[in-house]
Amino acid sequence: MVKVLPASRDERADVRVENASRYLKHCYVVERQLMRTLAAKFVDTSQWDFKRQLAQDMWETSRHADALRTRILDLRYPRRDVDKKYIPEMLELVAECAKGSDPTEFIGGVYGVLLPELLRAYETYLDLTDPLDDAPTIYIVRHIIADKQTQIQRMRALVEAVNPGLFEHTTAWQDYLRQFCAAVGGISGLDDPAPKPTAHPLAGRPPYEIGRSVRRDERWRLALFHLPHENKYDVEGRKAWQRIEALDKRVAMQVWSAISHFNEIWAAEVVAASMWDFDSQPWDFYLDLARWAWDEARHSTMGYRALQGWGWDVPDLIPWGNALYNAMGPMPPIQRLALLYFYEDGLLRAGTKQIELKILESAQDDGSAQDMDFDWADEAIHVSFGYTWLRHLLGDSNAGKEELTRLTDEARDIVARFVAEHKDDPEAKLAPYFNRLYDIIAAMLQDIPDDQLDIQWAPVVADEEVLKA
Amino acid sequence: MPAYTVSLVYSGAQFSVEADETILEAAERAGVLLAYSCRNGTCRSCLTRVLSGCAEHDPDYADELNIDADELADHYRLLCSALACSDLTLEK
Repeated sequence: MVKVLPASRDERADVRVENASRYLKHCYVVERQLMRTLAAKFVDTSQWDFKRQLAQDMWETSRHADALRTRILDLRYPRRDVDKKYIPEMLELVAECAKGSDPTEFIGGVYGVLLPELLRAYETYLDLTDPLDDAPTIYIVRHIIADKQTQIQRMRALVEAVNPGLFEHTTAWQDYLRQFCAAVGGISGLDDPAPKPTAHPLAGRPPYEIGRSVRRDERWRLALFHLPHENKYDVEGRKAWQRIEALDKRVAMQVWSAISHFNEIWAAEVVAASMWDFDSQPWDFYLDLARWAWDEARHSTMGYRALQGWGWDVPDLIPWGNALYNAMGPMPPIQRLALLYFYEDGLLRAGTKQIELKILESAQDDGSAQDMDFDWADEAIHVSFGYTWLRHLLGDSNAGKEELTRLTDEARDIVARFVAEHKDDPEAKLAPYFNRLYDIIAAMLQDIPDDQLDIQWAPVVADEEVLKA
Repeated sequence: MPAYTVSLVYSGAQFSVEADETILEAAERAGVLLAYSCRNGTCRSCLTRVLSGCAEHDPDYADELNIDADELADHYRLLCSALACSDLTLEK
């Protein structure tokens, strides 16, 4: 007698580990590449509200990719295949999205087409898979879906506030990307591929390349520097700052830390550009740098929030410099990373964040102190990232250490030359900003009683001097 | 458990450290300000050279610290993760 029992349950059960992991890998490849693309477009976007939102979405995308990658490896998928063999059609699809001709077209394409397509793929996966056998994936995918829906809603709300009509103005681009997505069989890879839209008027653009210099939001006047320690030649700027210090060292620290935080955007840009420039590093490299870049964008937002909190017209009053990023423009990516690491490592070793936090606490400015405290914790992680990945890139050896020193020294020389070359540019002068700020701060202080405390520490210290401490 | 004395060569500060506390914890308890950040031996803010005496990293976590063999051989320690095993003088 050769017989079998009937199927133990009626519903279709045709999902297997192999096709589940293959499906999820499609999503992972799109998420991984989208993360890198969002990082690069964050650098290239000047509009402040869009810029910081792209940074947040980039980091969230890194978490989605990480969760998928971990789950794919659970599903007997060879590690080499996950980390080294990407699906060309998915890479092509994201590469097309990156070809948006400006940030608005890019946003229209990603939030109008790619993310909805990803959502469709995740929802289809939930429909297909088994809630018991594949429960760990379902947990992950449900969270990703919730995040993606939030990302789309959040960006649509931002577009409505900042650039209404963005989605309507980019319908041709969205139409092209929809056709391109159909041509690769959708993100799931389950659809029958349609013909490639080669005849579409927007087809055939050259590959995207990240910019080597940044622009700032047009609401701000062009500025190279943001605080006097960056440009030793700006004597008038330093004097103007010292007038603010003379009001009260704690006030100077409050304003200094807010302006400094706001301008940390350059650090986010350096790290995010590295995520694009390095295209074949271990997954944890991207995961760590995504966090690093997002943190620095958060710090920038902290500064913006503090400056706004004092009721100030931030674009009018606060310099938003571009020199720190643009001076590094000609450097190879690893040298930019080395220089950033040098700055952040030096500040922590000198205890600068600790001292600044104590001064903000003495000012009883709980908001600024809280910002500084979390910034300090983040920076400790960043230094660990820098240490780990520079050793990885340069080699864990004496030769690697020597090369790091050489790259850093050379980078500092390049920045010093940039500052010297631009010292007389009108955009290098900070006195006009600080003189106006002085008047505003002095007027605000008139109604605040003197507490007779005298803080001796002055925040006007050149970075190079701090780093030697 | 013996308490050891830690001396800082530049600032002249001194404080005692118990056998079961890190050098950074002892400094904080004594109100001595040392640069630190992560408290986990990864950010290297507290990397300091031991000029005399003995300090060793907590063996339970030694493999997770961001310090290399050359630095260890040169008597550098991460104070957030190092325990004293004698009186010490630090390059601080």
